[in-house]
Amino acid sequence: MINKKYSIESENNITDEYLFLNRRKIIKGALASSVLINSSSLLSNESKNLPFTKDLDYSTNEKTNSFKQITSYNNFYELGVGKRDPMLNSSKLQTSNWKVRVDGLVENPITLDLNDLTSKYSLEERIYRLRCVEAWSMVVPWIGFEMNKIIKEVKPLSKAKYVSFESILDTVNLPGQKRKTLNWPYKEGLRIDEAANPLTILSVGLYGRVLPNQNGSPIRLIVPWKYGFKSIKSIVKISFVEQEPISTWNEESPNEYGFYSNVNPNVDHPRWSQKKERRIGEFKKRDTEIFNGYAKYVSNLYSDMDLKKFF
Amino acid sequence: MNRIITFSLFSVSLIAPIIFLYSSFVVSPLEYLIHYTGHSGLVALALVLLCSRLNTLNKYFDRKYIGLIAFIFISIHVLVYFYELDFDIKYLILEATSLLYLTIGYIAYILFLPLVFTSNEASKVYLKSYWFLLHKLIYIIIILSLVHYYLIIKVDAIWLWVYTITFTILFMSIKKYKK
Repeated sequence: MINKKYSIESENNITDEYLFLNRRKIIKGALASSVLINSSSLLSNESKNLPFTKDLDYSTNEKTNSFKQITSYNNFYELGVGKRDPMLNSSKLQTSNWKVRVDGLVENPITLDLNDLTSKYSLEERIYRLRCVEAWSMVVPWIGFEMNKIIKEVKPLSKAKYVSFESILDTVNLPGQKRKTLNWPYKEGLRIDEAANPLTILSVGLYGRVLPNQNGSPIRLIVPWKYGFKSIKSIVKISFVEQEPISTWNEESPNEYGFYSNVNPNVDHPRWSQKKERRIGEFKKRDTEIFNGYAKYVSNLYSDMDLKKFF
Repeated sequence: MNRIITFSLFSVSLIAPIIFLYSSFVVSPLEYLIHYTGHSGLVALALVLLCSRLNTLNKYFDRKYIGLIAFIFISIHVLVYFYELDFDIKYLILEATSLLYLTIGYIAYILFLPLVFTSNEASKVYLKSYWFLLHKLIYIIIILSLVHYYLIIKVDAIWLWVYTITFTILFMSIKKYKK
């Protein structure tokens, strides 16, 4: 009966999303007849509402994917390689003493703690398309702040040309890191002008609340015009550097995953097509747009580049 | 008896995904169907070979119908792929000719057709020893299917290994069956 209730999707109903996320704990709590104590402690962290303003400049007005779709179909190999594994293993990601170090070629290196992530910078909602390199896509209402804000705060030196990002390394708790599926920790990078583009955000939430673990809690990058794997999850380190940094998938298979990895229907993956995509929730594939439909904001970043060569 | 078991197995394997789809845990139903029918096709083909290796199994399974069931699964696999692309012939041809995994998939499917059309007793009588030769195509179909699968794996190849090892054992045990 409980399952039936949640299978009837109600898109933006906060209570349902909360119940969905914590359904097992709630059922457990009910069995132990301590529902109140249990759920109030959950409310204090996992499902905290975030204060945010709605952005109208960059957000799409396309139909957003449901909370359930966004949180039960994930690529987060640290929590397992199956699409549902990150949801099933989400409790294995320990975020309680999280710190993000921002350093490298900057005047003012900083360390952000868990509280800073949601309170130091004013948050806004950005509804973006997300296009995975595996040719599926979603529309996600992220909560976050522009990467710009950090860049301005740390003041990069003129020598800094790139920004490198690093995810958590926790081989004890993260089930996916017990196997060397990828060269852990996961690493990504952007050119500094890409990082400073107003579309680039650091996300700390979705659907108005703190990021669920499977979506890259407590802080992740969102670069909506690039394939999803560039939008690195659960970041612990951001460094400003001179040379093009390593990115994990590029390191894994350099002829298949480029450093830039801009969404481009004209450059296929060597083994599969990038011309169309499966939008989760739809039954017919739709055409993929160049730069995932964000060309007017970002095409100038690549005006003198051969996108077939720098894929 | 063996037909009843075979068709019960087939019914269960068709109903199982429907239950999964209704359980609301499958966020991407057509992708799920494509994967499910692809895997089921391979499992059915493995069962066909297993029946030809272990004579006792023929008491429980009808080899011919398991082969046809494999073909039905793979046909659904192909149809869902067509459906998602809206049966856009021009685009389907573009993909078939530009992507190796699809070219190989099509070849495997086309090679399956003569086996289906000659699966009746009359063909067996008419073709005589050629029938056995023709039905050896199953080995090529299996190898092409595994290559087709290999070509779309990103990192996790565990099932590919399971299939490869299973089929290797089945291929190598070929002589034991000869009369």
